[in-house]
Amino acid sequence: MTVAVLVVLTLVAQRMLGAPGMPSWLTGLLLPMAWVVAPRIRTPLAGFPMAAVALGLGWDVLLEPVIGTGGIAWSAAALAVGVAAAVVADRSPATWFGLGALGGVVMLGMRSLAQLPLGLATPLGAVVLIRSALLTGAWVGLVGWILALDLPARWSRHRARRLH
Amino acid sequence: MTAVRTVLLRSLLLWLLLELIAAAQVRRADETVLASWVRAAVAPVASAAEWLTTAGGDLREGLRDTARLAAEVGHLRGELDDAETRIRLLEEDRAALREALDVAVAMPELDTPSVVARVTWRDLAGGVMQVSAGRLEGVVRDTVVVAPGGVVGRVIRTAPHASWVELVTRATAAVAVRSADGGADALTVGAGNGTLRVDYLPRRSELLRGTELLTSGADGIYPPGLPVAQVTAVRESAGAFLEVTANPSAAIADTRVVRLLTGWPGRTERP
Repeated sequence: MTVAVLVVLTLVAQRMLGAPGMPSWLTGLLLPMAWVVAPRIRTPLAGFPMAAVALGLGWDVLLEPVIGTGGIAWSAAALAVGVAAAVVADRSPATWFGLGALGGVVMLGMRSLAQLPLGLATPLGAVVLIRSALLTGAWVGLVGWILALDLPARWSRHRARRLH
Repeated sequence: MTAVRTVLLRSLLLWLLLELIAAAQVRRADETVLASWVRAAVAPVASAAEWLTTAGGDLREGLRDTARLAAEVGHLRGELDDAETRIRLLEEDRAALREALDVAVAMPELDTPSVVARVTWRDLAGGVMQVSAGRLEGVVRDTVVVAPGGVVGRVIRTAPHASWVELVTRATAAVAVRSADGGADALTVGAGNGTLRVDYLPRRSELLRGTELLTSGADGIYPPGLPVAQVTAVRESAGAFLEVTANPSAAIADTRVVRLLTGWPGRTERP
């Protein structure tokens, strides 16, 4: 339940990135990618990513003109991230960065492909793709770095030292 | 393997379903859901065809532009070659004019009517040269030909606008000379290899290497006092005369412009 609320909050935050007055390049930062990369890093090949489909449909509800294409795009991104995570053994923040960038590229590409039959697709430029990959990778890498710090365990150790 | 196939199949089915749902949402007012699905299925093909057509057109136009550019480059290269050729010719002309000026001012002591002409052909081994002035310019047989350094030779044949010159280095050419100090008279004869032999120089003559030999005028062809050669070697011989070799004073091999002394009164007119 907590995760679902956090996902919704992430989507809302994503919508705020595209609010008037914000820098236009910020829309290239795909905040929900952290929710795709994190589970796939733990269990890379955990079957079909239904959670990513749900995330994509939520994305559609908040950010897209039609419902459906986001589900395709985000599930494809989750599958790609899962395959890549199964190949790469490293779990450092750098891997998080790489998987986030890969997921961003796949998500944007698949969304464009899914919108093509509907006549909604817009040309996807290399600059947009690269910028989005870098921003999303940096964001997911930051999440990975924070998780690697294991703050709750550190806090517990700190508390234990003070009690002694 | 089966699991992967299952995931792929499930993905494709789910994506198809989501695509159909999305297509139904963007259907037009006068369109059924089925028609919107058909349109969604046809749209990628139409887009691909349109893209291919556009790409083909662009490619065709690009090839045409490339061909046009290649032709233009070829044309410009040709023009560049022409311009470079013209520049080379102009440089040649400029050098020739400078030489002509040198020739014209050379030997100012020769106050006689003369014609400046370009060397159009030469055979140094054969000792013959052709120049661009002939009968119509007042050139006759035995007209003396000089260059900035000295005597080049004499005219042996004329045409309306050309003359053939026998160089002093030709084996059959002879010039009566005198040493610069007037102490020795002799005859230079072409050695046939671009140098001269100095004949009939008495053994008592005091001739040193580097001595300049001038025309003496005794041959009745060349006016006296023109530089002919410089002595390069003097040897004693068993005969009555010294064995002397010399180099011509005029740069016969390099000269491109010569002066023909058409007004020299000592020439013999033999058409």
